[in-house]
Amino acid sequence: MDILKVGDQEKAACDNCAAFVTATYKLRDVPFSDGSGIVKQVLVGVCEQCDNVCVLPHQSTPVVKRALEKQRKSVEGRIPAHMVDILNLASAEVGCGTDFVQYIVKYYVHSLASKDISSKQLANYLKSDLAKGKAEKRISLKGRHIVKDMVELKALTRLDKTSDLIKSVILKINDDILQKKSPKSLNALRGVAAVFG
Amino acid sequence: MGFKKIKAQVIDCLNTGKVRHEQRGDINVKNLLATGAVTAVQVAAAIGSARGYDYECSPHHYDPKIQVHIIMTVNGGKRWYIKWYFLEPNTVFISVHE
Repeated sequence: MDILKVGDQEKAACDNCAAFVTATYKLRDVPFSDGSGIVKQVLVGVCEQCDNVCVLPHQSTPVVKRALEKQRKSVEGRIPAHMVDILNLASAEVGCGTDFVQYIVKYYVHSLASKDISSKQLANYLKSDLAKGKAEKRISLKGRHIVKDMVELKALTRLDKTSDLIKSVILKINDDILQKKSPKSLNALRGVAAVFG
Repeated sequence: MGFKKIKAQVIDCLNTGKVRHEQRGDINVKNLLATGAVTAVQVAAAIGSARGYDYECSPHHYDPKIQVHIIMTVNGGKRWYIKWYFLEPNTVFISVHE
């Protein structure tokens, strides 16, 4: 592994100067391009002319990875036990084990929040018999986008309680995957399973 | 430089850690190698499996003497888009996407 030190200099492309410039390696707090956070005190190459961060040495990637992992937030809720069974059966329907459950829920939350799947009927699921039952089980969803997706879906559905929203999403999954066995939904989840399952 | 030599050079850089990631004032979260989401070994395997028809190149906007290399290939069940240039003795990655 090629190791650089603070103060080392190299040629690098600077987007701000639109030219190849001399970059000096410095420790900087650098934001992520999606605005989701900051990597603190990471070694980066800084343009000598305009002070723009223009290069990241490969030795800094573990620091970037750790910063990204730290900001993975979780959404938690309590649900009746039969809803866990619904998710496990849906996962089996896709050909996966129980580890895949969180990906199914996250896929649905994201697709509903981004309007790829209509969320109009989501609140109606809470009126069904399957929505009843003592919430004895805990569900935890972790990821970089789940919090944002949940906020957007709450705004779309006007369901303010996280547990209610998760319950309605699970009942939507039950409707699509276990009851209707929708080929479109199953194929989409099989695509997700091919990558993460 | 022929495609085989280009592949050999970039794979050698990946194996020896002579790797840089181009940034534009922030950390590009879409560059999976820069964020540690994929390893240098995985990227080297993807590049190693690429064929000539998976490859194209064009001059860098800031310096036409520098060639920007692009590989779009499938490896390990994943579609890869890898874009880089050489700044001797290093390889500078612009994009490593799946």
